[in-house]
Amino acid sequence: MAKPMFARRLSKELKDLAMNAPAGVNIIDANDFKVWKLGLAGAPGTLYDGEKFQLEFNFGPNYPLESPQVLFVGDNIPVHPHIYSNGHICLDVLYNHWSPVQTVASICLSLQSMLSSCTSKEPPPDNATYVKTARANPKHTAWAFHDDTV
Amino acid sequence: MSPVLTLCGHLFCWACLHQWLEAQHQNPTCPVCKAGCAQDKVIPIYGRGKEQLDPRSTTPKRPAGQRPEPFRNPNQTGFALGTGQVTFTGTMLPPFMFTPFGIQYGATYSGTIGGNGAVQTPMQAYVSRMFFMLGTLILVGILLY
Repeated sequence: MAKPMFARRLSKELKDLAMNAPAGVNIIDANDFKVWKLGLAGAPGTLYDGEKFQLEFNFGPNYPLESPQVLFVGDNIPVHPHIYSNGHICLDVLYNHWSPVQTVASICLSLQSMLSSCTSKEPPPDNATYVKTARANPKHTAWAFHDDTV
Repeated sequence: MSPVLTLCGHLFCWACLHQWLEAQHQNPTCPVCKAGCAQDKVIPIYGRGKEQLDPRSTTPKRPAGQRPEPFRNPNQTGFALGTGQVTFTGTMLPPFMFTPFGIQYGATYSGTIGGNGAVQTPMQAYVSRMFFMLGTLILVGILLY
């Protein structure tokens, strides 16, 4: 039987990532087609210069028709107005503006850009209440995308 | 395999695009630019190669191409009247034939030179045959009187 779509797509993406990953992105662990861990380094000349972050991608069987679960993990979660301290990311392309042309690499680039355009390292205003009530999967949150500046 | 083009100009394989349109049935958009998209809004691309169809494939048939009516110049409809049926030559026309009929025949004649491949509708064939019969009657009339 032919490989399912997510397996074909992810093996291609893994090859592309290994060949030429975007600047500041490295693969930490990608041994299956379910969970990948990637390292993301803050871009030089930005507020996050020199910092290292870890991203976790969870792929469902419907990837790439459905977005993966993406969150920051590890002990260094970026302090950013759109990133909650539990690692959840408020970014429209991860949820209802997902499109199958996006890739792990393009998500990393979007996050890199989101971090780079930040002008002051502040947590989201509702961080404390959100972290207490949110479920583990950020895709279950009803996100409101109201601020395009950061 | 089965390439299709969206109206916004993005190229996909039909099997993939169809899956995405189905997954997004409420508000289908182009995966690349998020312009509105739908099953009846994609254009199939026909290449020279033989279509490789997977018999296991359960995706519905790729939408057919659209055939808009070609633009026809209304001043050139006289050409369409011409077929090999009309055998009058210009010199055989008596002077008084330069009536509306005669002019019609003139136009018909010029059409027969290169217009054999022209598509003729039944209506045009009927009109052409009527003119031919009228012409024959007039000729017979001239000969008898």
